[in-house]
Amino acid sequence: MKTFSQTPVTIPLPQEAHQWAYLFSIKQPSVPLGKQVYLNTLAVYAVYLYLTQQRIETDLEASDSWNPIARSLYNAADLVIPGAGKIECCPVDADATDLELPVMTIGDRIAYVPVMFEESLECVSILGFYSSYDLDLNDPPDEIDFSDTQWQALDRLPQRIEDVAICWRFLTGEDALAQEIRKLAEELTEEDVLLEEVTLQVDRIDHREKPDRKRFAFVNYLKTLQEEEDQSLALKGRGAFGTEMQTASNAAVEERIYDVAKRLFEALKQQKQS
Amino acid sequence: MNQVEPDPWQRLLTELEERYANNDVELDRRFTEKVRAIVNSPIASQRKIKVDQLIAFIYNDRRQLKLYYPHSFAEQPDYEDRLKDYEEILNDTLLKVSEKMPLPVAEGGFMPTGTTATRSLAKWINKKLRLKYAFSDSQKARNQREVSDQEIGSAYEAERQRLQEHPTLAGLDRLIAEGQQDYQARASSLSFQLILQVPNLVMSDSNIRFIQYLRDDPNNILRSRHVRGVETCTYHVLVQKLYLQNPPDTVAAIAYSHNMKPQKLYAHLIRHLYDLIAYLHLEAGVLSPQEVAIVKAAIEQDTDQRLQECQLSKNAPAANAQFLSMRLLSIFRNPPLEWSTILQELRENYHTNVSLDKLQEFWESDCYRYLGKLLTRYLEYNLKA
Repeated sequence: MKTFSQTPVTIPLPQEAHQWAYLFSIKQPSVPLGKQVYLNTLAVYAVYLYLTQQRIETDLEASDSWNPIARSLYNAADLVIPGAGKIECCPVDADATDLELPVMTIGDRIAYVPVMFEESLECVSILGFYSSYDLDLNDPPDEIDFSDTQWQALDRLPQRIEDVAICWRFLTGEDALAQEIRKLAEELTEEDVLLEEVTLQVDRIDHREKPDRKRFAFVNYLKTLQEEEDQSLALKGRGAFGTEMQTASNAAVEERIYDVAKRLFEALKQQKQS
Repeated sequence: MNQVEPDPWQRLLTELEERYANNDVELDRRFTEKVRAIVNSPIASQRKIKVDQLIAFIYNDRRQLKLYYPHSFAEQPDYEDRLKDYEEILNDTLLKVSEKMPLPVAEGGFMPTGTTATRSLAKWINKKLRLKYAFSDSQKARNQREVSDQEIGSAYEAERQRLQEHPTLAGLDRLIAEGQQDYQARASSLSFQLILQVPNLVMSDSNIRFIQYLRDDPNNILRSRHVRGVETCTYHVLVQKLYLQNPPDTVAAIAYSHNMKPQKLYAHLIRHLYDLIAYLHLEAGVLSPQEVAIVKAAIEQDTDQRLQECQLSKNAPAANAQFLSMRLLSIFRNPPLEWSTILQELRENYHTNVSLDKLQEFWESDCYRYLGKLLTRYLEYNLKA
């Protein structure tokens, strides 16, 4: 393995982890797929144990990695953190030099956590984590080299999760601004609003952008949502807010959206400080 | 001077006292009391009694704690045997729970997380129960399989056991290959087989009926839904192209033919279509009586409270997936309740005013999805050899 700049954390795996892994793997149609599922399950279990030790609530059984269909079809190795989102737990070989990014997960995870396996499967090493906000979503890499300087030590993961949880609590809370944002997102997307997705985007902008650029980035994100939407949505008369935004002729509306975005990041700053 | 070993139960008590003392949950309070009683009883014989009392608390309040129950039912001919199995598995698990609970997490101990200690405890125990159950099923399957003379008592068998106890990367292939051989004859739900594109589907009557239901889509459930922003890509088209034609199209080919990125279609399938297909087993009425019983009990018990927490809004907690399921699904009521009656019940009994449109939309989106997830999970977990 190429030198990994962070100190790994060794996690002994209990029999229970192997029993789940075995049960899931034998339901796969082939041995290679079974092996992949076995290692995915152990990786998820190791991260679950680590986060539990750190008193962070997780929900194994709500994770796709515990769902028979997602597990088989999409090589799912996620771990749900209630009230925050998902962590991707990625098994890597002892001689790996990079982490291959599962394409399906890009833009949809709080962080990627490489879990290293050696010959004995009685324990594993969690190498660190890579925050999803460090990925360029417009041109995501296929893999992240272990020499990349953005890898972070595992002991910072709880804080990373807490940052996202602050966003989540705010966006799902009763604050009038949060309600306004939810309404806005609902109007921009025809079906259910994926608040997890909005949360991750807000968190991403909050980390990546300079203070005076945050509101522009947020509005750009909303416009992207709008662009993905079927044009017929506007024609059907739904998403009035979005329609107004699309025409962009109404300065007052645009002003209002920027104002919402500005207040959002101010509110988040206050939440994080408190 | 001898160093005194720290009391392992003290760790748990400290966690409970520091984090849950003021959460005003009666079960949490009683749980903490039981743990405190253990800590206050350092003499081994007394401590054993207190640990037993803690386990008795879990056993006696298992319903309130929402411990997993394997959905065995009185109408099943082997009900008594199943109940006996369950009691045995529950007792074994609780015995293990009493040993493991005070240990550090790394050694399999319990660490309460989240806002309610006993909910966290139930999740921790439920995982153990489900695992033990699933393993017992798997073992039964193995015992039922014809094991060749060569295999019995052979070095091969010893090696298999060694691999299960001390797995290695190099030994995984063999361990899994053998497990898959045990498993392959066991049928799983049709949606699972369809979605996974399992070759050589067993064409039972119910499977044929389900496939016909998907083709006909009599209630327009598949035809009326489409991928976000791509109205031509209805779920009916997707099901047809992915599962009902031979050979099936790939996800990427379908995505490109509708001018979208494969990633978008993949994400949509995961978030929406698979759960919906699983849910359609209920609409199509193709579940066996045993499966219906499993699903009914799973909805009624809602052990993880996922259905109850799937709510129309925070201000209308009564309008949740469990409430609606028990009124709208034909496995509970045939014919189902009228929407107007449901609205009236919500208004009069729960002081919840919601519009018909919103409630119907919620039922057909969130509730279908959650029910689909529940079906996938329970039908697979409860799979019998």
